Amino acid sequence: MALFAKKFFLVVMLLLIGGLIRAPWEKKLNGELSAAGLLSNPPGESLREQMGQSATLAALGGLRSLVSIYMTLHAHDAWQMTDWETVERDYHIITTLQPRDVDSWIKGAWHLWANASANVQLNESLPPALREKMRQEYVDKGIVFLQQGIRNNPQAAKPWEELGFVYREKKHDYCAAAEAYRQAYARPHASAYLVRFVGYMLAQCPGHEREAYDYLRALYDEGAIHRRLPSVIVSLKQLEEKLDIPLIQRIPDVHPDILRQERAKKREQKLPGGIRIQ
Amino acid sequence: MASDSSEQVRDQTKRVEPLVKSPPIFSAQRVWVLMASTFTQLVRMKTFYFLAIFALLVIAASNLNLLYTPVQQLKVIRETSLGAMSIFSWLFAITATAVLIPRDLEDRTLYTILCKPVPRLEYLVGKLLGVLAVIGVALALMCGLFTVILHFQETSIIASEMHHMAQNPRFTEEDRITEAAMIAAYGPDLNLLYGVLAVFLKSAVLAAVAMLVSTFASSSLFTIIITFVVFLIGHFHKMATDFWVVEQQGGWITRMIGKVMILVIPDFQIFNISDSISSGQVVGLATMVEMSGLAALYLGLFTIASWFVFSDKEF
Repeated sequence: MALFAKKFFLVVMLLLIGGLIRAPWEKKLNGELSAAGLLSNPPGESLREQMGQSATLAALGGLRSLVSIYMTLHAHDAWQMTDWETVERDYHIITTLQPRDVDSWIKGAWHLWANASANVQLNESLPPALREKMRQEYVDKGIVFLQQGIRNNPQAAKPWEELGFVYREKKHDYCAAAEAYRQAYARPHASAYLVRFVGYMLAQCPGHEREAYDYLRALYDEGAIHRRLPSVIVSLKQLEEKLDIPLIQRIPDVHPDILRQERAKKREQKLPGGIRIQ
Repeated sequence: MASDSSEQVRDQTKRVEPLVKSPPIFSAQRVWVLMASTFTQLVRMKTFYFLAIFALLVIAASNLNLLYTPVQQLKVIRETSLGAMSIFSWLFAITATAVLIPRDLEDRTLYTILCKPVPRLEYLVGKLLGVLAVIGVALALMCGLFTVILHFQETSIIASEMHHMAQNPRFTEEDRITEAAMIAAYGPDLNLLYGVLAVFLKSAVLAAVAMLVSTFASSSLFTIIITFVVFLIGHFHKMATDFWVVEQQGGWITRMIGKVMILVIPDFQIFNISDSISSGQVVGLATMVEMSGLAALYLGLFTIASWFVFSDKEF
């Protein structure tokens, strides 16, 4: 027994000395991995309560991604049952476990601003005023969720793009949408069409018509084919009218709607036997 | 005459060579033989049957689509595969190492080996390397399988996305290139190999801990339970450090015990980078070298500690 105790003590001493040697090395590596976004902090107390013991253990045991896949399945199930509280809670857990997964932020927000908001709006058991209030609340929750995603992924273009879409479609706040699209386009891997969306939104933002006109005109003057799409031309023509731009300075293009009508007319004439398509 | 005979005796004495050479202190060849026999022994336990389950899991993950974006589809395959690899490797590291010494005792192989001039350190190193070889081969096979599936899935997703985008005039050539690059970033790459390496390093350290426990354990079950507890505690390192060391919570005895635990038990959380890698985070070669160095230090420490306990153990 004494021999065992002696050995045990010596083994612990050996491991302690080893621990003292590795501690600074480990601390440095830990810092490097955390700075590179490769190590996440352990789940906080509130998250641990929400996840349950087994999921917490799995998350701590290096199986965060598996727990997050399970939570995604759980959220999908809750979505089919229109259990919005569960969907919201599950996506909160998923994004806390994997804060750099941009798609999860976007999908969680989408469930809130699109699905939950539409669902409460269609809920006829609620009074109309309450339905509208709840719809707005879910849209706002979706926006907050996206903003959290942006804070966690400052270099990602997609959450900004999604935010622009929500401001445009759900809040009709075109000024905020323009700013969101501008931010999205400034980031790496942004879709090329976003450069035009900034102009479209500015054109609908009260008091920014001149800015919108200058912006879209600059795009138009670049001359590339994708800068002179029908929507750019329509927006410019509307702004020219609104700002009363002198005729000489206006773009020479024919309005796309007139072009479309002319093309339709030509097609009609070409049909053999004088057949007309209504 | 007498001097002649004495010279003959001297010549004969010179010609006589020792019948048994003293064995080298450490022989890589002997370790190799022990490792190979351990490998065979573990393979005969039908270890690789797990691969069939793994293949089914990866195929199921590649067909799972809960309104996923193209990137998410690939990410699910990466996450499921790396997660399954991680579970397999740490479970195997604990259980396989725990049964090795008791099995050798039961089969009497241990007596046959140790009665030969095989140092006990070589026996332990050979056994440990055998376990690591099985884990390494299994991980390599799983990695190969999931890389092939990921590659095919990536190719088909890119083709389908490009076809879809080509039909929509809103998307320019630049958009298509960006989208293809974003999807390709979640295809097979070097980072995934680094993720698999991190999984391997973690299970190697765990196997070394199990080896130490099994040198003084009375049964395999005891080894499995104690190693699993150490494994769990090893994941609470950061929380424990924050609680006992940084925040200075608890009495001084609690803090001292906490500090000793932090120094003695390995930090397994440091190897948990495969989660982030499967989500698309990038890791550098220098970081992996540093991590491998740390794992080697752990292996060295725990092997020496195991040898220390095992060196004069009587059977």
